[in-house]
Amino acid sequence: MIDVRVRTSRRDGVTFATVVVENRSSERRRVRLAVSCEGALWPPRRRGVPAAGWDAEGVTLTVAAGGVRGVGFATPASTVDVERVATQGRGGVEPEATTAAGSTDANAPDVDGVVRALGSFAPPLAATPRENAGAEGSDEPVEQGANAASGDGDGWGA
Amino acid sequence: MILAVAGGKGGVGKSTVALNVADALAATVVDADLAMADLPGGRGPDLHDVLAGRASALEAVRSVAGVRVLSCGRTLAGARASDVRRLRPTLEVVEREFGAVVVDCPAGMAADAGVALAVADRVGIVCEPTAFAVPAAVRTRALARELDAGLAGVVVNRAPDGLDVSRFSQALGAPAVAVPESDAVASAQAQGRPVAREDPDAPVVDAFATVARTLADGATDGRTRSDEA
Repeated sequence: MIDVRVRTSRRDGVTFATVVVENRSSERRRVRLAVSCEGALWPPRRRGVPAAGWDAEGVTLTVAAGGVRGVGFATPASTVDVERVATQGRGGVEPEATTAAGSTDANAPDVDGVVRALGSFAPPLAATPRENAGAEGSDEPVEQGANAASGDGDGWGA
Repeated sequence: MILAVAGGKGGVGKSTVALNVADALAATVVDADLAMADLPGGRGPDLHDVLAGRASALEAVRSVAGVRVLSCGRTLAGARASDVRRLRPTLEVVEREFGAVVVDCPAGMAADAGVALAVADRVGIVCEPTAFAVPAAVRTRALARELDAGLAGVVVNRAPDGLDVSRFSQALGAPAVAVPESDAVASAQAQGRPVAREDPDAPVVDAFATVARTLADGATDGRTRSDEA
């Protein structure tokens, strides 16, 4: 009922994997894909945070009835294995399923989700002094320039 | 209790309120303004180091002028190296060790403000008595609600004498407390000290005590200070 097709290509020491998940059943399914590779798993990121559904071991996604979804990831490992470990539909959990652990825990609200939705606070790389790039905890004061660039509307209320 | 002191706009006095409220509550104040810190610092590891995984939260807490402070670094490189998602375990550890925590939130609505609100269990919104202040406060309240931080009170900072703060409490649905414009506050803040330590007889010390009581009471949507009197 659930088809998982994986295609990989390797460039410059990085393996790029494309996974197509097809749900041929007549109801919406939640699918858990476990990625095993001898190396780090690099999930797609949104604002520096792994995209919704991704964690260190794989991804959990929902596929509409009769629908197809694609996901991709990268890894420095030369071989990857993607396995469907759990599928959950309206009728409950299919036999091989255990817990389809998502990336969120019960401790709402989810901090990753906040970062994904609101975006980074960090100053752009171009604003970071080059000569200090390697020096952790340098003491160069930055308030003046940072304030000038903040543009947070301070002047409006004056 | 993790109390976030927030307010959409910069320069309204969030850091001043956070420091003085923390002093009144004998709480630890955490400067979560990662890009533009302005609470007193000192030597040793700071919040940038903690959020970059280079120091533990507890070793970065110091006593500054009698107040426990977890200050924040002032470098852009430090801000870039910080993983704001580590703010949750950091604040939780500090709360477990030292009790009540007051978080000085950054202006704006980016992830650093959002994560602080997501971790806090209540929020006090600071605004100035200007026409632009209320919409900014309403936006901050909307974000705080989205993130489950109940609005405990509104601090109308640098209020002129005799200001009626009831329109702030009506607009925002939480008790509003005025903190008068005060030279004593300005000079104490310039020294990085709470005003109660610098000038304990200043009238504004009582105002901060009222603010601290109100915010420590927790979220009381719909109730105003005058209803209680």
